[in-house]
Amino acid sequence: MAEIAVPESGGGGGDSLARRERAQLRGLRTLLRNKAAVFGILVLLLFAVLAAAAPLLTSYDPTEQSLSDAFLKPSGAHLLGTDNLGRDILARIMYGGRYTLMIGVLAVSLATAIGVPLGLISGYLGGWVDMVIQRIADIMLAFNPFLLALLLVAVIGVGLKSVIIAAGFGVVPQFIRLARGQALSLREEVYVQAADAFGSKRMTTLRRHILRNSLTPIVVFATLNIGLTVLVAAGLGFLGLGVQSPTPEWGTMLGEAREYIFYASYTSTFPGLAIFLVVLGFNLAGDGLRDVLDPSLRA
Amino acid sequence: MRGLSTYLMGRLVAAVITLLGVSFVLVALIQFLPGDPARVIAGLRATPEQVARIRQQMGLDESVPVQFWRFLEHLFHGNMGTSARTGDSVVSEITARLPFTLELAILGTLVGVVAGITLGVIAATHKDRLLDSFVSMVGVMGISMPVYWLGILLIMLFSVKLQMLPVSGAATLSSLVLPSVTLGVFSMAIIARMTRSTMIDELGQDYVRTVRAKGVVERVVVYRHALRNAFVPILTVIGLQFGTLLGGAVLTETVFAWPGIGRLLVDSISARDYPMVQGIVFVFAAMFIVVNIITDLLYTVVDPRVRLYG
Amino acid sequence: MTEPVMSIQDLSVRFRTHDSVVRAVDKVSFDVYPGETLGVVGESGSGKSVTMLSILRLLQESKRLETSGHAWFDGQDLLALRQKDLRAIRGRDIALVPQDPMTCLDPVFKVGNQLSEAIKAHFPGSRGSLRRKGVELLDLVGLPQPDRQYDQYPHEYSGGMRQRAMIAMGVANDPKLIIADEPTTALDVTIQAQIMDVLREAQRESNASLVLITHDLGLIAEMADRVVVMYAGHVVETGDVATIFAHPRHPYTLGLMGSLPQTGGDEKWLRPIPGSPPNLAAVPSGCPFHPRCLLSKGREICRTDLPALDTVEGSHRSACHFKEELADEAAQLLAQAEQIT
Repeated sequence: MAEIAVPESGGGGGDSLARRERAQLRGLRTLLRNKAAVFGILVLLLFAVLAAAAPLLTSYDPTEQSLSDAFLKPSGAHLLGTDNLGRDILARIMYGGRYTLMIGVLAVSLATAIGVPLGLISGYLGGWVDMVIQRIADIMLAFNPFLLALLLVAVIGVGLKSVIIAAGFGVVPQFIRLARGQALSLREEVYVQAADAFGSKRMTTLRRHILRNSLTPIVVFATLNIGLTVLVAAGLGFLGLGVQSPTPEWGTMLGEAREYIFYASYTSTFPGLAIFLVVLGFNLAGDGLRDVLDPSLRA
Repeated sequence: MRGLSTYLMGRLVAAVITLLGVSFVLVALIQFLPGDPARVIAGLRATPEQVARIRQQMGLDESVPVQFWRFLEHLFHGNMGTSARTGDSVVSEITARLPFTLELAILGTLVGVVAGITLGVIAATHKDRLLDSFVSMVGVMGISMPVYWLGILLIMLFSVKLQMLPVSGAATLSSLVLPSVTLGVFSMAIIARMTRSTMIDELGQDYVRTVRAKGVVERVVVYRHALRNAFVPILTVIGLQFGTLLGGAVLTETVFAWPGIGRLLVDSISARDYPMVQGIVFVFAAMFIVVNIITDLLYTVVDPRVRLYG
Repeated sequence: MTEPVMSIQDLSVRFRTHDSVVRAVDKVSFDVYPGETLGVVGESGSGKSVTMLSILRLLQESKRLETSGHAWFDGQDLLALRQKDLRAIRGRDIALVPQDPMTCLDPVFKVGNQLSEAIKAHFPGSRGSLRRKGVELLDLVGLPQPDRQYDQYPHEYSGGMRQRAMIAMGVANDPKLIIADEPTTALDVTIQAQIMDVLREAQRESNASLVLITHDLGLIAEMADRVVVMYAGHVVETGDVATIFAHPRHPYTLGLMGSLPQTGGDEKWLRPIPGSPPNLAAVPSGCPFHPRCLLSKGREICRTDLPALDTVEGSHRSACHFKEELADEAAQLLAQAEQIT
C-alpha cells in the first residue's frame, strides 16, 4: 500500500507545491484502486444527485396524499409503488435524501465542533482538565450514542432540529477520545515542544500546530461517523421520535410502513434499503479515505 | 494477587464515579424540560393539585444539587420514583420487564461473539483470498445495517414467506430466534472486523512461528495460541459494543413487540413519563458499566500478564 | 564423505510487492553433514535467516511469496512435502531455536506447558510423563529450579532463561538437525557464552547437526566446523572454518573479518566494508557485491557477469571473478594482522 505523508509539519514549509500535488494525485489513485471505496462514493453521489435534482427527476409531490392511489405496487407509473396515503415512494425517498444527508453532515459537524476542542485541550493540557473531560466522556459513553440521543429527544422534544442535536451529541465522546489521542501524540513532537519552549501561548500552539496536524484523522473519523449518526437519526424516526410525518424522512417512513409489512412489504423495503445504502456508502468511503490518508486509524 | 485487587478497586471506583455522573445528568436534564417539568410530567389533563403534588414529590422546588442528593438517597433505598403515566413504582415496572431485555441482550451478544469471532478467524486465516473479501463485505454491511430494517426483513422472510418463526412477542423459545439474530448482527460485524485485524497481527508474531516449528497442527496454532492472544482486544470490543447493543435492543424490542424495558422506554418517552425514562436509562447505563467490569475481570483470566500491571 | 543430513539445491525465495520483486534468496545450494556445526554468516538482509526459515516453510504464507528449489532431507524434498508430512518433521527431526527469545514464547501459556506441547505434538504421553520429561529438559539446559520454573509464565523469565527454554524445546525430541537463528543476538554479552555452551551441550547430547545462523564471525570461529558466507541472497564463499579464516578467497568474507574488533588495522582490507547491504528489490547487476568491493577496481566483468561458486581447493569454494588475486595478498595481510594482535 502506498502511504503518503499527510500533514505538512507545522515548522517549515519545505514541501514544494508540485511535490504535494503529486502526493495528492498518488493518494487519489490509491483511493480509486479501492473498488469498495469507489462504490461507496458513487452511491453517495447518486443519492446526492437524486436529492438535489428531485424536482427535476419526478413530478410527484412527496407529501401530497391521494387515498385512491394508496398501496399501489411498484409499476411504470410508480417505480417503487405508493404508501398508505398514496404518496409516491420514489419521490419521498428522493426528497427524503435531503434530510438524511443534511442530518448526517450537520450532526457530525456538531459533534466535531464540540468533541474536538474538548479532546485537544484534554490531551494537550493534561492534569485535572484532562481528568474532568475524560470523566465527562466516560459518562457519555456509558449512555452510548443511541440511548443518549433518545434521552435528549425525551428532554428537548422531537423534530428536525432535535434529531440533529441528539444524533450529534450521541457521538461527541468518540470525537473527544480521538482528538485527545491526537493531542497526546503530537504533544511529544519536536515542533510542538519547540513552540512550547519559545513561550508561545498555549492556545496558539494548540490551534497552529496541534489542530492543524490532527485535521486528517479528524476528517477520516468524521466520515466514518456520518454513517453512525444517520443510523441513529433514522432510528429515532423509526420510533416516531425523530423528524415528524409528513416530512419524508426515511426512518419515519420505515416506522410508518412497518404496520403494513404483511400486505405491502415494499413500503418498508425501499426506505430501509435507502438508509442501508447511504450508511454503507459513508462507511465504504470512510474506510477508503482512512486507508489512503491515515492507515494508523485502522481498527 | 495484591496487584489484581488494586487494579479492580481502581476500576470499581471509576465505575461508581461514572454512575454518579450518569445520575447527575439524569437529574440535571429535568431543568431543560420545556415549560414546567411537573406540568409536563403530570400530563395535560392533570389538575393543578396533581401538578403541585408531582412537583413536591420530585423535589422540583429544590436546587439541582439537592435534587441530586435526593435521587441518590432514594436510589440507595431501591426507589426511583413513580411513573407519571401509570402511577406505579418505576423500580417494580423495570424489574418486571428487565428479564426480557437481559435475555435478548445475552443471546444477541452470544450470536455476535460466536459468529463474529468465527468470521474474523476465517478472514484472518484466508487473508487476501476470496473468503477474506467475503467476510470484509459482510462486516461493512453489518455495521451499515439499520437493525430495525433487518428485523423487518427477517420477519418478512422467516415469518411471512417461510412461516417458520413467530412474528413477535415472547411466548415461546422460537420467538427468541429472530430478535437475537437481529440484535446480534451489528456486534457480529464489529467483532469480526476486530478479530480479523488482531488475528492477522498475532499470526505474524514470532511465537506463532515457534509453535509451528514444533510441528503442531494448524488448528492448535490458530485457536489455542493466536486466538487466545487476540482475546484481550476482542474482549475490549465486546465490552464497548455492548452499549451499542443495548441501544439496538430498544429498536429490536419495538420491531418484535418484545416486552422488555427498551420498548417501555420508547413508550415512556412518547408519554413524557420522565421518571420512567430516568429509571430505564439509569439501568441501561449500569448494565453497560457492569459488563465492562466483567470484561476487565476476564482480561486477568485470559492474559496472565495483566495481573502485574495492577 | 558421508551422506549429508540435508541438501539445499537452487533455493530461491522471492517476495512480490506491488511494484517490485524482492529477491531475498537467489539460487542457494549447500549441504549439512551429520553431527557437524555449519555456520551461516552474513550481514542482516543477506538472506541467511530467510533461507533456513523457508526450508521449514515457516515464512508467513502469502500470495506474494514464491519459493523454488529443493531441500532434501531423509530422501524427501521439504519444499514439495504435504503439510501433514512436513509437520511430522518439524520439531521432531528438525528443530528451530529462534532469534529473539523475548517474543518467541507465547505470553499466555506457562513455559512448561509450551515445552510439553513440543513433545506432545510427536510423542503423546500422560500429563505426568510429559511434565517429568519437561522438567528434565529444563534441568539439562541449566535452569536452576526446573520444577518451579516449569510452572512459570514467560514474563517471569529473564532473557537468558527464555533462550535456555527455547533450546530445551528444540532438543526435546532428539532432532537430527537444529537450526539456531542468531540465538544470542538479543542477549547480554555475559549470557551469550553461557547460552552457546548450553547449545553445544544440547547438540552433543542429541548428536544432532547444528546450523548456526549469525553475523558474528567470532561465534563462527568458536563453534563451527564449516562456514557458508552469504551476501544479498547469494552464497559467496564456503569451506571449512580453518580455511576460510586463514585463506579467505572472497573480498566480502575478508571485509567481514575486517569488521571484527582488531587492533592496528590500517591496511586497506582490514576495515569495515564501505557502503551498506543492497536493497534486495534492486540487487546490483553482475556480482551483487561489486559496488562495495575493493578488489573489483571498476573492472567491467564484475558489473556484467554473476560469478559462479567455483572450487578453490577441495571443498573450499568462492564466487569471485578475481579470487586468485586474493591468494597472496590476503594471506599476507592476515598474517600481518595476526602479528599485530
